[in-house]
Amino acid sequence: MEHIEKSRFAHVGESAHDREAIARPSLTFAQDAIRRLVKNRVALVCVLLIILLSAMSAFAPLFSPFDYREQHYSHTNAKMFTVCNEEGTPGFGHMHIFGTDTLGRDLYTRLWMGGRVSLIIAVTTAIIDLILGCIYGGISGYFGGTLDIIMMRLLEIINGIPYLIIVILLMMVLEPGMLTIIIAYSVVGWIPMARLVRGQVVALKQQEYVAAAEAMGASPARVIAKHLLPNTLSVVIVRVTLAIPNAIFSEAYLSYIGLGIPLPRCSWGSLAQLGIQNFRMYPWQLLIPAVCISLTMLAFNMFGDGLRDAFDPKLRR
Amino acid sequence: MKNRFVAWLLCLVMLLSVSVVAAAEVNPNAGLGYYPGTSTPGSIAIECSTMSVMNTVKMTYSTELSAARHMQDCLVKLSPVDNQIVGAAAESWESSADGLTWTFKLRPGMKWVNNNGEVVGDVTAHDFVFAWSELLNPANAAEYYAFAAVFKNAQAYYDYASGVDGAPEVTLDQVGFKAVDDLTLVCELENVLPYFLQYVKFEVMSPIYAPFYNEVGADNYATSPETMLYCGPFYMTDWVLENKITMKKNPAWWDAANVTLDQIEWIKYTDTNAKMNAFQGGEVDLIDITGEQRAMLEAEGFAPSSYIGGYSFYLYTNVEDTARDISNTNLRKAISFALDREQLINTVFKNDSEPSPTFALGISGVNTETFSEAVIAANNGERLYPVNSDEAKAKEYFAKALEELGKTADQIDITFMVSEGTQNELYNQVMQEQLRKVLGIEAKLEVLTITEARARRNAHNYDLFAGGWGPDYNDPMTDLDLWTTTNGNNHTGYSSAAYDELIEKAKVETDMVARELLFVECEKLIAEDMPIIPIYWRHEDYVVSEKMAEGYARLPFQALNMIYTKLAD
Amino acid sequence: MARYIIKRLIYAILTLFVLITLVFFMMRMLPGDPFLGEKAISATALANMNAKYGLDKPVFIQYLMYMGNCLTGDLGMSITYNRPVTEIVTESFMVSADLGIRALIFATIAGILLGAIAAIKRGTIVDSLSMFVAMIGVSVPSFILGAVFQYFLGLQLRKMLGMNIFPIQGWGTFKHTLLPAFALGLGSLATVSRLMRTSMLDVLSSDYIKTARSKGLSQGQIMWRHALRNAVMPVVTIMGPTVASVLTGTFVIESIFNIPGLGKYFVTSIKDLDYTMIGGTVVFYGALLIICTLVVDLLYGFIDPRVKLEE
Repeated sequence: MEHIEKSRFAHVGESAHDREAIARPSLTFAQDAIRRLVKNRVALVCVLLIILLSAMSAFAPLFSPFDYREQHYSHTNAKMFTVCNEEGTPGFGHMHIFGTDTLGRDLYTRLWMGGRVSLIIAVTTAIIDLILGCIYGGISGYFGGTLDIIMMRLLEIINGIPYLIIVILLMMVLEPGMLTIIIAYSVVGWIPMARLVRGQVVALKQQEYVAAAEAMGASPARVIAKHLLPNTLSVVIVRVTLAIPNAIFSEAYLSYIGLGIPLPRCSWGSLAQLGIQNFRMYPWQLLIPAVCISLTMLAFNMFGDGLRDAFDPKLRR
Repeated sequence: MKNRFVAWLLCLVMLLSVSVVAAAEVNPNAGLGYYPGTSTPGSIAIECSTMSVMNTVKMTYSTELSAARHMQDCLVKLSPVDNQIVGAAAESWESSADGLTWTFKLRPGMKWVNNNGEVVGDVTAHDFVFAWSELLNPANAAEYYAFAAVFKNAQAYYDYASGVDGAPEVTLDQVGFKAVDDLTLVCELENVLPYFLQYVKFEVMSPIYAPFYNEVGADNYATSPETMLYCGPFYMTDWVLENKITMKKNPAWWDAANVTLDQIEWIKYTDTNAKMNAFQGGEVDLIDITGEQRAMLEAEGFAPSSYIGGYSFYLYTNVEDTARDISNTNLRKAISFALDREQLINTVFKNDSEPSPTFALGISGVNTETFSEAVIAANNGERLYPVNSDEAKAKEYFAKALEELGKTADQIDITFMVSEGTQNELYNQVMQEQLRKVLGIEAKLEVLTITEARARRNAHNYDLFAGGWGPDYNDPMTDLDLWTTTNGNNHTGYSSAAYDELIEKAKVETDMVARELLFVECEKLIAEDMPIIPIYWRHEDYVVSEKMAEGYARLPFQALNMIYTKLAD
Repeated sequence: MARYIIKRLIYAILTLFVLITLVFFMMRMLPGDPFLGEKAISATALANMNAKYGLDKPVFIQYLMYMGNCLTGDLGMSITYNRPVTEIVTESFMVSADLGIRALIFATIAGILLGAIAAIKRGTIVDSLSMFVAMIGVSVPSFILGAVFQYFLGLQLRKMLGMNIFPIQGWGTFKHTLLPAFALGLGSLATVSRLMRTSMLDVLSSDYIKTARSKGLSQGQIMWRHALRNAVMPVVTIMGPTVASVLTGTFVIESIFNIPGLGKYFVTSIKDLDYTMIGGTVVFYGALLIICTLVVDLLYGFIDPRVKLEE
């Protein structure tokens, strides 16, 4: 039996007010979550990594002596750290840190230009996935019955339409660009999330705390938002972190069929796709974008784990 | 704790994979350079592309025609040695003095075999008559029916049978091909056609055995090895759609004694890395390769081969829609002079493709070896299109263009329409960058699926579109009649009375030298009006394993001819 | 239960009907026509081809005819391949399904095991290792994974050992299925194991596991009877559509390993604008998808005692 110091206990007196008072400061859900997130050092490192990748993407191209589309015909497929020997160009004498691609374009500059595209698309689409998926899945699962059946059949229909058809039709209406890609991915991207949330909600709504909330007169919106969704968070966060690489790859696929970022701009996905063509001869052309994708992926995943621990009400101590 | 471990582990694996890849590249079996090919004796495996239709009447793709070349015999064919016409099903032939009637004598004793190599019947002149009638049968909707439309009354019959309004009645027996007896075929032509034999050698003109065809039905015919018959050097034993076709030697073929191959497998690849792996791993004997792969093999000391299929590549320009900047002739000339064709080839294709000196390629000249040489000779020995960028001329024409358009350089609005595909995208990106460098034009790229790109090309809804053309027969007409006003393949909207007149004259001119001069004028007119901007003549690289010693051919009009391949011991 | 199934089946047919209708009209909005080749064809030939495939009639009439044919199980003749769509789809589906089942078995068993073990051994090396394996599959796209496997395990291994362990490409023998199934399975494995781990963690911290523990049940019994069954739930949820898409093949893996599967037709039919083939693949995939979700929903009832199937 642990010895407890007597001085830690003091008589509060007979006042009812004092007796019911909460001695420690009360924390809201969000405050508590943030407090726990900050304590998680690995998650912080990941946030830093994400910030670093984003900062490089934002600023590195500005300070590079090369333009992302400038082609150096005298040294195509150059090795890493090759010095540019083309006189009369602004980059003369500067180093191609990551070499050049098959058209002689500076890969370092292109990598960070691509980072802009990939990171923005990844994050935006993940957020859209999350919002649409949670709302749709939550409503469908909570209300159940015919509404649920119809909403779920609707998902099947959207899922059943070939993606390529949707994309080509979108392409006819919209200008190629970042927004189009985000829309094209979001049209179908949220479906697995909705299905997942709905599955979780169907199971959770039989729980006592839901019955209790309903008994106390909570509106369906409140039950879904305050009681059901927070309890699905752990699974949802995993799904979101998986959706991020999906979005990056799907952008690569879209650029392959023409709805990608307009050429000669690039993304990590399209750099990897170009790299794979020659990976036996110039492996770094594939490895560098692939490592960036993996690092982003890793950082988001580990950050996601941290978030999960921070937000999961069941792990709240 | 756990996360940090994962991070370290991942870094380690990344490092490892870098070093593994690096190691593999530093020593890619240096000095080995030896690719023995597939292991089955007497058999070769070669790469092919689309193989969706095996009914010769309905074929369209070049590899389908190549497959047909190995399974059926036309009246005549091209020799794999020198690409000249030699007899195939026909032993001899003669034409009347006016060139309108041709009589073919068929080789006696030719047999039809089925997919087990069993003899089913004799090849007769009636089989050709039947096949050509099927080509003209509207129910088959044959895309290449025009090859049978050269016969007397054939086009009239086709129109009548298709129910074209106001077409007079013409019956099949009025069409100009007749089987006089089992071994004699008489053809009457609508017009004089100096290159008629080039038509007859085309694989869609192969014979078909009527009793069998009618038995399986037109829709079912040639949809599997069992539902077709063969009269050529090989017969098909297996067909996995869009994947693989297996052919075995036909011992009943008339020249079987000279065929040493027992089997050919045609494999369709869609991934360039995959086929190189398969080649190096001994799963295929012949593949087409990219410039980078060529460099890789050369670094190993293994020499790839290269051939000219006759394809000339150029930019279609929209000259018709005057609302577009590109309809300005001086702007098109400025673009032509601004492009550095040599740099383009070295950067994108990294092979022996040539910057186009003239448009038509792969055509023989009358007194010169190639038609192109005749054009250059007539142009004071100068090529029509430059090898390297000619900045001075480009800027000169550009200044004129800007003045005519009343715009400044940054207001010029040009879009390259690009059909998807890595190499095609790279190709267009280089042109885009060259225009930016030399002329300061910010051209856009618009990538589309091939079907959508073609639809927009045909509807003349584009500025610039990279395309290519391969000849169907050995005569400048196959290339040059493209740019007449009424030609269905003239997607530029180019309409020049002078040009049309030259082509009409050439159609009736019988003096070959005078005729060639007309074609030379056509080439010059193209360079002057520039409805297309010729870019390069394609050389295609491929590798063969050391198993295939000799006897095979890759030439214009016969992209693949493996019939007489001799294997290494 | 029977009533529920019947009700769902009726919905399934309705869903399929709406899906086919939507796709039918959407594909007609795609630019171009199926007969666009590199070389132009004459107007007469084009008219003849349109007549042959019934494309000369008004679109709505074509729709009615197509639906009528669908009811009799006739999906029409492929425009590109000149043969019945049903024949092409069934032949290539056999190949894709064969490969898909192998990949799924591998992904599900390995994924659930990896995820469960990682959760049970949370915070140890085992946990990290399992999750690392899972991450490879999801952080490397399949076009890289397939190419790298083919190069290292197919070509380099063969050169090193001088024997043929993994064929580089092709289809036909058991050996041919190994590399593609592995490459295909890794993608799903990542999702399965990551989800499995999290949901297992949730379950392990729940009260009924504590209760079971305090009852004195053995670790094995707790895992098998209480934890696994409940934790597998979210995994099952996402497996429905995954099964449908894996069974019908993937374009990338099929083209890298040269497998005569169904996956490529989903892409090529749209690029070639082969209307009948697009319709055929959509009907087939749609039906499979609907069946899979139905099965998943039914499975819920068996796996998770908390879920009641709504009548």
